[in-house]
Amino acid sequence: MRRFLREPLLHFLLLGAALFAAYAMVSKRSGAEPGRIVITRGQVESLALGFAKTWQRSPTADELAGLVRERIREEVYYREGMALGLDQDDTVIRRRLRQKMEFISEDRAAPAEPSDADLTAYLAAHPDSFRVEPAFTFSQVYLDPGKHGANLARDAEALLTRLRRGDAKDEWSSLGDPFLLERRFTAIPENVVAKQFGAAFATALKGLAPGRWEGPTESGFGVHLVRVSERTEGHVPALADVRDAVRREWINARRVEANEQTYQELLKRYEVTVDLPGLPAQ
Amino acid sequence: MNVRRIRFPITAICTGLALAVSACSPSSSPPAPTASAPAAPAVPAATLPPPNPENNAYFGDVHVHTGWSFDGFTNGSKTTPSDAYAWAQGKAITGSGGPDLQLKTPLDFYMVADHAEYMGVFNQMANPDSPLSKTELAKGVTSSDANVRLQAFAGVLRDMSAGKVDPQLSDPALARSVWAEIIKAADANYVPGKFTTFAGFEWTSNPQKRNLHRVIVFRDTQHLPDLVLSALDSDDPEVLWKWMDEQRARSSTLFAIPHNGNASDGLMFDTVKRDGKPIDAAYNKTRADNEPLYEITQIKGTSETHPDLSPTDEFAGFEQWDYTLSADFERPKRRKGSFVRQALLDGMSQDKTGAGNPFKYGFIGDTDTHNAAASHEEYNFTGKFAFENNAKERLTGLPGAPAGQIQQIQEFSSGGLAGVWAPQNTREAIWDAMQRKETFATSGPMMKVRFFGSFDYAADEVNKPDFVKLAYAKGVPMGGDLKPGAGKAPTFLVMAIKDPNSGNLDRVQIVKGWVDAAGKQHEKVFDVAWSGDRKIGANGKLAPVGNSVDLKTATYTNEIGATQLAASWTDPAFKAGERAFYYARVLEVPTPRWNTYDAVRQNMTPLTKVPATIQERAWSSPIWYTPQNP
Repeated sequence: MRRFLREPLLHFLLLGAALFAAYAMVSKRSGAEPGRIVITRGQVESLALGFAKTWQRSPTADELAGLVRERIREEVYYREGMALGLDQDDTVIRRRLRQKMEFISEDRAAPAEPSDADLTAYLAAHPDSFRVEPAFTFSQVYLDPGKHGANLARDAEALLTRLRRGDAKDEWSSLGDPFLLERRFTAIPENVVAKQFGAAFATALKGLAPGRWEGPTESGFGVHLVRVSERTEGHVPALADVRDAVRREWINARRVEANEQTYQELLKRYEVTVDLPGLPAQ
Repeated sequence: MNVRRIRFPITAICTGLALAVSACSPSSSPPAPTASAPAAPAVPAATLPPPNPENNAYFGDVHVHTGWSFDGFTNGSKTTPSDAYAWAQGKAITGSGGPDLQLKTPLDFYMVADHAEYMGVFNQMANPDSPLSKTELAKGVTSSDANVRLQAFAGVLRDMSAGKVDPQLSDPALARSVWAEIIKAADANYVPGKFTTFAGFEWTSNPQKRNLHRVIVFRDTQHLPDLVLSALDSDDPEVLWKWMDEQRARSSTLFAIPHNGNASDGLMFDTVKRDGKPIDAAYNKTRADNEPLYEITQIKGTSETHPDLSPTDEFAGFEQWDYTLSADFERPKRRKGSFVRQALLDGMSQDKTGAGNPFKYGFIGDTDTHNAAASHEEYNFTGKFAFENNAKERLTGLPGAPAGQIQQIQEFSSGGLAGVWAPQNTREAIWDAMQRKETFATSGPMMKVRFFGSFDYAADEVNKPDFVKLAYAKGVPMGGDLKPGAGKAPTFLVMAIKDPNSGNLDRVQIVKGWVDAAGKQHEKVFDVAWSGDRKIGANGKLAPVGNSVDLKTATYTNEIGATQLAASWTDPAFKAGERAFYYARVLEVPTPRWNTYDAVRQNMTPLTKVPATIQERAWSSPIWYTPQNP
């Protein structure tokens, strides 16, 4: 019997019967006393306004009549659907209503403009969100593993010696293998180095002695001889340099807080029970 | 009902309700085309690196949905446009119930393109009858006391449900639109030189479940409409283009990017209009003027070409999500009109008749994620919809889901990326590069492709250190038209470099399409550069690069393939009287497909109905040749 009660077909049949009964009632009601649909002046203005905002002009009389006809059609289906209870337990409708409530509560909670003291405190409490990454200015000469094969290490060593010797006729920017990326990068942050050369290269760059040719250093492409000429350490910036970003995050944090507060206030209106032993309601 | 009695414009009364977004001002009709959001903050010149005349490659996605799209939130996404922009810059965001979402390599640009349909969430506020616009309630709602605010708010809700109305107190400025909020999020996250955002939306037309969707991208946020066109207003692309023209007349700068021709059953690039009449010169010009780009790859499949259309192209069957948008997993029947390579040919055939070319599309890739996170990283795929942010459910489907739906989700691609060659990372520079089609698409990795054409290149030019400078000086980049030559064949320079965080490169190909003197269409794929010492076989095909993927561990080695490939290629069968297009296609070595990563990480049985590995790839925008005196 229990198994029978779980049978989806049974649920389907019961649901069908319920819908049929409900529809019969609704039909009877509307047969006896027809429902009234009034499209108010305000609603018509609203339709016209929506049209004007989309097309930057007022609708013609025909267009407006069309909008109103669609509105009436919508109203008829809306009412019939509501009468059948089709809004009940509809995921789309439930989530839509939740979203609207959250929008309203966010607006309601729109925080005041933060002071410099608020922002300074926020920056101090969340330094990692605003930290400026280390940046590097460097030159690189590329060696293509596909071209050097087993001689890669030897060729890299020879090229390194030549670069370090720094003969005037030895223009570094013409040495090495052709490569689509630039030979010189100026003040690029570590994450951009990782994006261009791969994460391992970015990590290796931090360990290179500045001011002289070093390597070979591996990247996602092959190996490179690298000269780091300048390196800026990572640091937490002054508020003036990141004020907009801190302000945005501060406002967002207040909004999240206010949303949660609203929810907790609303929740107090309900006594919640969950009909499953061992599962906490909160 | 008497239409002539309608009072319009509406007299507005300023209420100052805290729910309002716009400043309160008397309304006029039609509303002036004012900006819907404050202008982006002025940028200190010092922070913006100087423009690179040889252009940099920037990677991004202009097709991102959040929980603010109706199908985003109904599928469980709790994300907002602000979350989307945080994710693209590398921050972890809510996983809407699943694990937090974070990408490995941050993107350069991003655009939230939520569906225009149902974008005006608070339409009751636009309705002057709405109790939300009542002044009495507004006072309480704006109180500084949190408890008073909450009580007043509750009062608003009670009155709303009781249906109390007061049509005399109304203010259309209270029409808080989701659109205005989307613009605010784009402006708040725009950091010129570092991270670019755009204002845009998706127009979601699908007549009979055939996909005609377009993403609309605005160049700036100073000139935007108050409301955007939705497919509920019209599902005819010609009406969309008319609307776009009206925005231009009001100083907006915008284009539309269609996508998923593969799910259109022949409608996307059809040569008849929605009213059944054949396309003509006016249609062709309007379409080409409004649509410079086509989104060739995304989660719902790649629409470059289909094996039925390109039987000799052994790489044609890539990530084909072969469905319409119908709920019963219907398969499309018409290949012609559904794929962009065939459309490029049909466009040239149109042009040959003197009607102009409606399908002169450059290429980009996007994802079409519906959960804020683009999820284009194959090894970091978190699904299209929020409920897919659960590796088990991605692999085997939600409990009780129909088999067809489970299969559709398994066939979802991890989505693509837009590559753009622009002098700077700013709205203007990136939008302009897209408008001139100096773009390429990738199936996810950040590989870079240079592609140039000219009648004046020397064969060895691609090996010169200053090849990019030479290439620009003597020829045109991807997306351009070959300048007329002196009877000889054009030469193309192509150079591709791998994503350092992805697989090596297998080969570079040039895809040529042409229409001969008799009007017959042809296409041919040429292998022009490849890794290792492979030779082109007697069948004209280059041997496969091999496959290093270990399916048990979802790993691969980069011992096969090349880190970069370059070639100079001269068309061996060029005829000066024939229209032609050429685009480059770059293939990676095989790497694990997302389902293989998932199966290994979850210790689950690998899927059998979708490929275990993938050859990620890039497509450059085409370069066209048109005879001077056709």
